[in-house]
Amino acid sequence: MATNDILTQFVREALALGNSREDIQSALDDAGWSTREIAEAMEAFATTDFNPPVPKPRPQLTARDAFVYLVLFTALAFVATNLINLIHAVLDLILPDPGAEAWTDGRATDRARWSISILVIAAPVFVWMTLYTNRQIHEDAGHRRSLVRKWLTYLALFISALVFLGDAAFVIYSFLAGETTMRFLLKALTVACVSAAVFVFYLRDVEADADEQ
Amino acid sequence: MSNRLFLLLMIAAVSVAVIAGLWTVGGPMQGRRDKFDRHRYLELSKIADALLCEHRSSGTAVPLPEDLSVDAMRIHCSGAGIAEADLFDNETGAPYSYERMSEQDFSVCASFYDAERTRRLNASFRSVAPFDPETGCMSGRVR
Repeated sequence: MATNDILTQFVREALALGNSREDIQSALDDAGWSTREIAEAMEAFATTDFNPPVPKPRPQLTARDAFVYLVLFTALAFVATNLINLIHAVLDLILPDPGAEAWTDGRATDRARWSISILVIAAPVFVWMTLYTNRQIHEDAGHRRSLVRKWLTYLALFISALVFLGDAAFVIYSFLAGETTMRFLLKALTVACVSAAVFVFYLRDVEADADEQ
Repeated sequence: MSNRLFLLLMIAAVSVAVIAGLWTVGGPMQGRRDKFDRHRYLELSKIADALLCEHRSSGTAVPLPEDLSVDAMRIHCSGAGIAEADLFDNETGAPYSYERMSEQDFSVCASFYDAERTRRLNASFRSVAPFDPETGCMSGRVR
């Protein structure tokens, strides 16, 4: 049995025997449990006089959620990277840079065709999966507690923040290296806009989850 | 930003990018033309490479063949790796035009949809003979 399970079971039994929350917290504190561990164990049960103690809903991990959210976030990754890639390829072709390598046009044409192909598939999948998961959450708030959704949302936030900050650092580096052409600035702006949009969108999701709790 | 607004913005951005991409690189017809032009470019390069015959180390200049055929190429430069299909346009089936300007100077030409675009798109492939997009020809001089 995991440590947290032992603690939760103890709290459940103590509440069932009619001990007050303050007494239970004090006993756990004397036993050496940390404030955070005690708070988490106490939070697992609703504050009510009903006996036996009523458990609060907890994050779930189901195979179905793993499938749905992995498809959703993979589609998001494909849409974001290929949108950036396609815009970069178009900029390479319409704003030629005399300083660029000779093979730029050939590569840009191939990249554009690949990105269009992936976007035509990934964008509808992302839209459909987002609407589907939103509808599920709207109909049953329990879906909001999906552990996979929570983890992947934070992963999307982390990656988009990393890309945004990396892009900003690259702009400064390129400015110092004298590469501030219009083409370069538009490319950097594309990366910044896409990563910021993803970040803001999922940050709102995290805030909505916090409000729910 | 509501979910719906984010999705609408994403759909708009993807649509605009896809339309701009198709406008820039062209649709399936352009893709097919690029493919045939690339074949032409690579085959002209292969023929020019065989005519220049630089890998042979005989040290003596060999006159260019009178016509472009597998047999003539074999006599000119044995084992040059030219196949019958390399001498004909993949799309039209017409033979590539070969001009023997002297015993040492030649040009091989093809009819491209867009020779300048072909040169740009295939710039990563370094041909042994210079390519002139104006005429669609590769020319060279044997040593």
